Order: sequence, then structure tokens, then C-alpha cells
Amino acid sequence: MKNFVTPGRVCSSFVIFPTWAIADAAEPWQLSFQDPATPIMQGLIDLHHDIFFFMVFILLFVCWMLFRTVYHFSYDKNPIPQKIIHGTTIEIAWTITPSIILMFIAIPSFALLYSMDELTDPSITIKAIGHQWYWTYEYSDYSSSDDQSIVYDSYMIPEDDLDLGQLRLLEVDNRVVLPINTHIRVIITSADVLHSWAIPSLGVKCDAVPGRLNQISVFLKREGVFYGQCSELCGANHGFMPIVVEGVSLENYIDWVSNKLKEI
Amino acid sequence: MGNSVSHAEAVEEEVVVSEEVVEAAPAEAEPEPVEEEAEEEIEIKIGTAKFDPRFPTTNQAKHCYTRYNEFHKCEAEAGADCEKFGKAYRSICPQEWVLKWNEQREEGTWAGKY
Repeated sequence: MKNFVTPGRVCSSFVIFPTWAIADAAEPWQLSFQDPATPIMQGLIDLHHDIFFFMVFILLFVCWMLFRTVYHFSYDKNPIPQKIIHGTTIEIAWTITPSIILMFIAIPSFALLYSMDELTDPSITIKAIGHQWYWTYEYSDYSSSDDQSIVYDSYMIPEDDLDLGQLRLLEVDNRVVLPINTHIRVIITSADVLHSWAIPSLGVKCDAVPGRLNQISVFLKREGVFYGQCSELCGANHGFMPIVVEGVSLENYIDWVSNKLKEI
Repeated sequence: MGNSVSHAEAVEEEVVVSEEVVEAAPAEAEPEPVEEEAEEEIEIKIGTAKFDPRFPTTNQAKHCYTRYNEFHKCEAEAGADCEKFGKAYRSICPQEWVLKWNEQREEGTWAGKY
């Protein structure tokens, strides 16, 4: 058993069990959440775990009651059942207890819901515009005239053009570049039909509605490449308009913006 | 959650970086022609339209429309120093909307007052 954990074995285990690495994209047979990159997603996961505790507790309790009922109240063991039709104490207990449990679920749920709506004074605004079947992104904070914004389309890379290691049906030609540790306002709209801009790692899913500008806030806690997909049925190529967000440091973001501005 | 403000505000203040500083490294690696360096004078200032308590809802369409009108009101009445309104509506409004509205203004079919 000498040197059981060698660097080579650790590396190969990452190949065999890729879930050990940080998961920012969907995986085959995935059962749990992707790794959170924003406080909102962390909150969603925590809420899920909180509620799951109550779910397991209730499931076990109900199963135990059912089992006891079926076991004890059979014809053989108990030919004459008791004819109790009223019990004030137990009725109070089985009314109060579930309402307390519901409160324990509702309070953190509402706290999370309202914090998701909150828009902390943003430093950056980007716009995501859904089209059939691609996304257009606009960075207009740095322009001084109406047609000088950074605007680009983001198309899926077809399967034949993928490089080794790129994700099928998830990779795009132009990613959304966003800085970490910065409050970002994302304005989501559509130019044709309903779309939905969704990235599981960021805890974001927001419908893109023509004529409406939906606003959400994003605060990235770490660098990474976050994959998402259009999540509102929008036509034939609905499954082929993914979303890729690249979280970078603020300096790199400024570099990227200045390079983009030079291209205009 | 969304209330952790302090960090980002600190970032926002630090961020006013002139592009010359940021671009120093690539410029050293590859000397660029003089015209391009003149272009790099644009200063990248991280900042956007502030949260507006008039528009606290998720739907910001009216925010965009109002900011666009405010800019043209400013241009019509004050005639100068309207760039902050301009920056605000450009941050919020999709380019497609603005270009369409500009076209309507040129044609004289714009519904707004200004």
C-alpha cells in the first residue's frame, strides 16, 4: 500500500470522476446541482438542502404511520376497530405542527426570493438579446454615440468544428466576458419570440420577452467558464443556442473591452 | 446575498483606469503605428446607469424609454451637458430600439414630445 496516492493516480481519478473538478456545465446523468459561482446560486443550493431535511423527515414519519396502520389494523389482529371520531388534542397537534414546518420552509424561501430581486447599484450593464436562434450581446457603457456600442452575436459551434475538449452543443464562438467581484446588471430581451437566458452555475434563468427589458443582477464570486442553454421553447433550433459566460478578473475585462472598442 | 455592497463599491472607485496603463504591456510586445496609439486615448471608465428608484421593477422598458426622452428633453432645453443622460439610455436600451426611435425622430413620426 506504499505510495497509494500518487500525483498520477490523483490526475487519472479526475479523468475517471470528472465531477471532482468544478462543474460549470451540464454532465451526462447529472443528479445534483452545478457548482455555484454567485451568492444567489449558493443560496438556492442551501435552500434546497434546508427543504430536503424537512422532506426526508416528513417522508419517514408518513411511511412509519402507514406501516403501523397496515400492520396493526388487520382483520386478524384487530377484528373490532375502535370507533374514535373526535380528539381535540390530536387535532390541535396535527394542525399546529405542519404550519410550523411550513413557516420554517417559507421564511428562508422568501428571504432568498426577495434578495434575488434586489439590484445592488451596478457597475456594468450588459444586454442579452435572444434571436432565432442565437444570442446577441451588447456592452454600451463605454460608447458615446448610438451605433458605437460593442455588439456581437454568439452562435453555437457546430459539432464538426469542435476542438478537442470542447463541449458538444454548449460551446459558442463569442462568449460573454464578465468581471468577477463586480455587480453586473443584465438586461434580457428578445427580438422575435420568447427565449430564456439561463446559466445554472450563476443561478440565473430569465425569460427574454419581445418589447420587455427584464433586469437581473449577477455577482460572480470566482473566475470560470459557465455554460447554459436557452430555456424557453423558441423554435426548431431551440436546443442549439447555448450561452457561455466567461468570468475574468476586472483587469482582464478592461483589456477585453478596450480590444473590442478598437475593433469597432 | 444581494446586499453585499461594500466590496463592489470599493472596486468601482479603483476602477477608473486609463487605457494607456492597461495597454502598456501589449504595446511593448508589439510596437504599433502612431495612428492606433492615438485611438487608445479613449478612457475606459467602469460605470453604468445607476439604480433608479422610479423603476424598481424587473421590467425596465419604461426606464429605457424615459431615459431616452430625458436625453432629448435635455438637448432641446439645455442644449449642453446631456452626455450623462445619453450614457444612461445607451446603457439600458437595446441598440435596435434606439436606432428605430432615431429613425422615427428623423421622419417626424416620433410619438414623444421632444
